[in-house]
Amino acid sequence: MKMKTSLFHCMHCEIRVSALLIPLYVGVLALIFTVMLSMLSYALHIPEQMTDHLEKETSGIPYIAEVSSVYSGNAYILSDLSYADAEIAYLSEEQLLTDIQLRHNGKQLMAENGRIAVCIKEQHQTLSVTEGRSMRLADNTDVSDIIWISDTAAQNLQVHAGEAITLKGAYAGQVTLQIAGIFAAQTEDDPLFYLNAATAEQLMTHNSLSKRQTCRITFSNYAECQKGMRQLETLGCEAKCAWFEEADILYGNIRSIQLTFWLVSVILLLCVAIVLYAMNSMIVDYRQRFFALLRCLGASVRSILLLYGSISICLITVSILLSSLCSRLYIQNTVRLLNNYFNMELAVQQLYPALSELLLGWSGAILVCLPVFILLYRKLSRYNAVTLLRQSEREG
Amino acid sequence: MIEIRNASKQYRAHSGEIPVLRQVSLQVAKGDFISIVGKSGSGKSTLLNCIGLLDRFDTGEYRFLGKEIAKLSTAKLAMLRNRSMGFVFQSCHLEYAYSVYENLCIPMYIQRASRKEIDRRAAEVLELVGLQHTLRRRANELSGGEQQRINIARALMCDPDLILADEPCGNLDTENSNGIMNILAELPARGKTVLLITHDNEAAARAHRQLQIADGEVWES
Repeated sequence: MKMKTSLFHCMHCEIRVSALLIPLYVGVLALIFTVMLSMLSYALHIPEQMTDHLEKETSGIPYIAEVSSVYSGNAYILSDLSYADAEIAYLSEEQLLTDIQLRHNGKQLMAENGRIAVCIKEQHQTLSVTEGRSMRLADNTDVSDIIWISDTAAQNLQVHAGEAITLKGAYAGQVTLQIAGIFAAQTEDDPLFYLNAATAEQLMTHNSLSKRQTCRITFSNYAECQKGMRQLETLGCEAKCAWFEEADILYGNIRSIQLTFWLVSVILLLCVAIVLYAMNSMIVDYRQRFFALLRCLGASVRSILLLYGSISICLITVSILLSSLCSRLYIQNTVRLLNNYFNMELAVQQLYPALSELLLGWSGAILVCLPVFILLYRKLSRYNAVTLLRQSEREG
Repeated sequence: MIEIRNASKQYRAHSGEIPVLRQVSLQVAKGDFISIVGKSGSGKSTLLNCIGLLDRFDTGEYRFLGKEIAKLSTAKLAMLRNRSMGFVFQSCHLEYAYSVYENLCIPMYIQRASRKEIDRRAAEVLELVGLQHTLRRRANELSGGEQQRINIARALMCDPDLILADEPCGNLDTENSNGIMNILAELPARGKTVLLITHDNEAAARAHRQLQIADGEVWES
């Protein structure tokens, strides 16, 4: 009981004065670090959870993205999209059929329902050829001015393999092409002819000038659409998901929140650096004197460490609880935000990440504060009354 | 009260071991007022540290109040320092955010004294130094001379047997210095032993015994 009274007296004494500063600073540091870690964790994890959730919610619902670019060759670039869920990119058929005219000997081929494949893909090598040669992989990029036409088209145009035909491009340019082969069209929906990338590009570009082209890509769900959008942006395309605008806005909000959190975290980090600097210079020096004075007045090192340690642990516990509450509030805000767009199930789904975040905050604070404590007390314990007396002597 | 026989102390440096105190022998009786005069670097502060139980002699024997100091643990030394010694520094080292009363309380808190006992002692020591009216004032509101008096009062709070004063008048003007020396000079009459370290010969002359220290050797002048 007497020990408790004494400790209480000492604590009371300490709390009354600036001796509180070191524990307080450590407590504040813990608070800042925990909030910072919570925010970082939030900024890192929430968009992922959001994407996962969107993927589940929108699975099986196709999303169509409007993609436009000043480079007409986009059709071929888009064909290289790595997303398996994205369909092979076409320039719109209407656009091609309107803009590209196939002429030969005064005859014009304009089959209303005919399709034109503008890229030679690997799978096209299996095309069954009735005349001429089959496609080769090298035809895709290395060889230009060649064309494969369907047997229906060949009959209409009365041409054979090895002959030349002329295609009128979208901007009045004309390209003469060698018929490399004639393939057997199995159905009416089969393309009328195949071009390789380089040739199609020639047809779609006017005197090397560019014109904005638009095409549509279908994605299997919204999440894939978002991924595709990002890749398209890197390709220089202007992409916009035409459907599900609410989710698009929400996704944008989350990204902006993420950015904000990053910025706030950086500011907090700077605050921590400033606090650490101040603590290291002014406060520690002051505490060292007080520590030495206490030793002169008869306090043992153990009792001083016990005093400081108990106050610090109390403050850190309070600060951790406060910061945990803060991180819970972040989560709750997110859940509320998402529930406005989705349903209550999401709140349940967020429970586990919230708990993880809480644990992360705690362990982060402990991990950060423990070395600070150890360093501080090791530094303090080196100073004793001798230091104080020597200092007095120097001042004299 | 203090018995030191053939005590030596040396510090370790890069260049090797530097002797600070050489074969010091000293006997101090209760109620003595002793001054130790020496130049800077002569070893007087080291002697004070060792006598004040803040440091230990490397060799020799030191007995304080009949106790063999070398055999005591650090906790016991801390307790002995609290109950039987009072330090007066050149710089007051008062907690400026504390009131005078709270500054006086610190050594008594360490001693786990009761509130009643603390109040009684605070009134006594403040009367001794003539600053009863400052009890509730903050330490930073006091003048330099008053702060040093409070410093002495704090050293006397636990009713110690020995007062160790290290240049107590170093930062004060003549008038305040005289005031402080008067207080210290009165203490032996109250049964306190005073060990004064100074380089001021005038202050040293007020002591009953004057010791000289140079190159770690102590002798009575």
